[in-house]
Amino acid sequence: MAQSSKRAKSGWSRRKFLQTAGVAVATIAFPEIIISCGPQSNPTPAAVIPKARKGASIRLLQWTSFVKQADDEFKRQAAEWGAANGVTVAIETVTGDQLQPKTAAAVEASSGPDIIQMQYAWPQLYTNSCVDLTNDVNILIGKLGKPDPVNEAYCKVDGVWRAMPYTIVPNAWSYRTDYFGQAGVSSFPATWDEFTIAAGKLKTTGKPISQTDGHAYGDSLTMWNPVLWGFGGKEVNADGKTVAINSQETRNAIKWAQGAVKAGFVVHPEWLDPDNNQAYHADRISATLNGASIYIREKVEFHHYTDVTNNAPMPSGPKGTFAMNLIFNHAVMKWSPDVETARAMLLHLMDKDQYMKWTTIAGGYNAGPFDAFHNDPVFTTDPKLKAFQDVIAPGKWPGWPAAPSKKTAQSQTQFIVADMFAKALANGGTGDIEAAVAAAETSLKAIFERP
Amino acid sequence: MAMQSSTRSGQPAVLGPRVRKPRNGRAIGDRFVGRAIRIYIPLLALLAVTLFPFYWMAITSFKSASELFDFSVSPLWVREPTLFWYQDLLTKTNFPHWAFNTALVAIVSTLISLFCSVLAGYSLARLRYRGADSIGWGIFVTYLVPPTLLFLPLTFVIRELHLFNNLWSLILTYPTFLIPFCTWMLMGFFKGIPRELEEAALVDGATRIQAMLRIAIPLAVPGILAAALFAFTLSWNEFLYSLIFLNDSLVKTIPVGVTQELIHGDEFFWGELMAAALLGSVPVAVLYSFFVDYFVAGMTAGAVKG
Repeated sequence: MAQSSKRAKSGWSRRKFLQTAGVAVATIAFPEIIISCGPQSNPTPAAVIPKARKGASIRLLQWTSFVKQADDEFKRQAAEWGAANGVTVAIETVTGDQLQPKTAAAVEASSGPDIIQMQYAWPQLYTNSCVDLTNDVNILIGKLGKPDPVNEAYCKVDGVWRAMPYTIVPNAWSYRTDYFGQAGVSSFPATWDEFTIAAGKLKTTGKPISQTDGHAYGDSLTMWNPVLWGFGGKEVNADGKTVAINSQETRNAIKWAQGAVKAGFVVHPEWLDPDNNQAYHADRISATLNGASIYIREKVEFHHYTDVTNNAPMPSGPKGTFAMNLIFNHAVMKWSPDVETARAMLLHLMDKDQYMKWTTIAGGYNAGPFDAFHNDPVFTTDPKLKAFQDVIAPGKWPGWPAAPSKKTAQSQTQFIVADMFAKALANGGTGDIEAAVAAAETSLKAIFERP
Repeated sequence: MAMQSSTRSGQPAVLGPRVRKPRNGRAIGDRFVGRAIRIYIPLLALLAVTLFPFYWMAITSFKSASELFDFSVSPLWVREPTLFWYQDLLTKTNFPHWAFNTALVAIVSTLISLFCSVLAGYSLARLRYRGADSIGWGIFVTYLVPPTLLFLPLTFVIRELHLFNNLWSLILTYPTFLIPFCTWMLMGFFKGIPRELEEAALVDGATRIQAMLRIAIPLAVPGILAAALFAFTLSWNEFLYSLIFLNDSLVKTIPVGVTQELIHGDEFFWGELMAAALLGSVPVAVLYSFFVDYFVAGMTAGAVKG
């Protein structure tokens, strides 16, 4: 009696317990079986396709792409969609550096563009101003497959899609095959150690391999974070709280960089993003890390070194191959009076046919952030562009392995990793390693270990 | 001119800077070499430093695309000058609109600021009311608040006034930094005008307003012109507010339009950029050349009390 009374109170029978436990185990072990059995077989079960409101007005703010024709195509597609749906569309483009203050001002005033391009971890910074786009991203996942993990890491905040994956600007090495040949280097180095040897040989040609270690918005971050990761170093642990820069791995990365500089790799703390492009176009260097803009401008406009320019992915370190690319996504802002129309427009622009027209015109400067774009012919039509496709898979984000957050964004904005390398690479690669690491650790602790 | 006085021996003694006289009787400082060392060489060095950026802008804007990146020849000369970038700038971008917007904003905001500053400067310099000194210092401190701190709250104000993407957003916000600056400058100028002149006018029956309009302001014209030049230049070159408050290409000003439409990603289009920079600096240079005397007078106002 007492036992049956207890069962009645708890509502659990042995049979019910076994049923529940069995389902739970099966769910954990074979989730795809459960998913395919239920109504969730459709990846977008509750997806509601947003509709444009006739008479609405949508303003989108994003950076000025290197490829002007690609910007024009983007604007054309948006205008075409606007005309078809009775929506007035305005696309405003500003430089990458100008996008941040404009976004900050819009967020502060809760007023401004309906859609803003989010660079890197901005969805984490401006979470409260970004509309939940989970429904819309699920629609895209259903059509285009898995999103790129880096775009996903940036767009998803606490499990909610606060931005829609838009594009990747891959960063690879552009190099002069003629100077490499003269120096006896048959191909671009596959490892960082080979890179040091090649840098030494290229030095004899008077056209060194060069890169910035200053505060370049793109080129500095995309260089020094992957070097750090390649040797096993990291700014912070995966918990996003424990600073881990003070390690032997970090020292190994810095020692490699010092060795490369002593051998002949030339670093320029004064260079910003355009400077390595100019140095390459002016025939002053033999290789540099950049987006595809150097190669594309040679190919399309200058025609000086097109035939003797090739591109190569990032070399590997002892812990593997790592890369960092520029990641841009779109957020619909909460103050927009036409959120649904803005969502509908973004979905249209991410439609595969539309999107591939845009990447074709971008000529390899942009890559799509979903599985469906992985075979984009733009990277195979010209084999020299394949390197830019190859750097997408090993891509990570500043602060990795910690998830992107306000704190990783702050560390990135302060160029802590780049500054650490720059300190150690001062005076021809003879800077004080311990002082450089200590300074980076102090700065990182001020960010990550703050409550 | 050296002042002379007699010594006990009856020989004239030279007071002031000593100039060693050579045997031929002429001071070394008066010879060409001396003048060159004292005047011309420093002047040339100063000119080289100040004019080199303009020279660089000019030659870069006349170079062809291939010459821009050709480091095998001297970058200080143009081999094959071309007007291609100017043609491109004036026909393929909205530069004429940007120039018109910049001029309109600079002129109107300068006029508004001058009107307010003349009244404020005169009242703070002349009217003896409680707290005038504190207000004067307050205005000066206000000028020291950097625009990078002010643009966020001002964004909120502009939103409330529904002035985004409208040139009035700049015409109304530029005086926030122009008025304190011009007021502070004009206060010094008004203080330099003898008070007795206005008092005489008041005794003769003029009102305070008449004394200001007919006595003080005409005498302060050099200072007002100097303040106008400063205000115009600051408005002409202003970047941050223009970046934040304006969106459409057609309503942008030169500093923002040029950077937004001639810098693509990490590639700078130097030919057009330099052509735009040169054309953009011409009006300010012309203004300075016309009013340089007033400008210097305004800069040195109050330095010597007569």
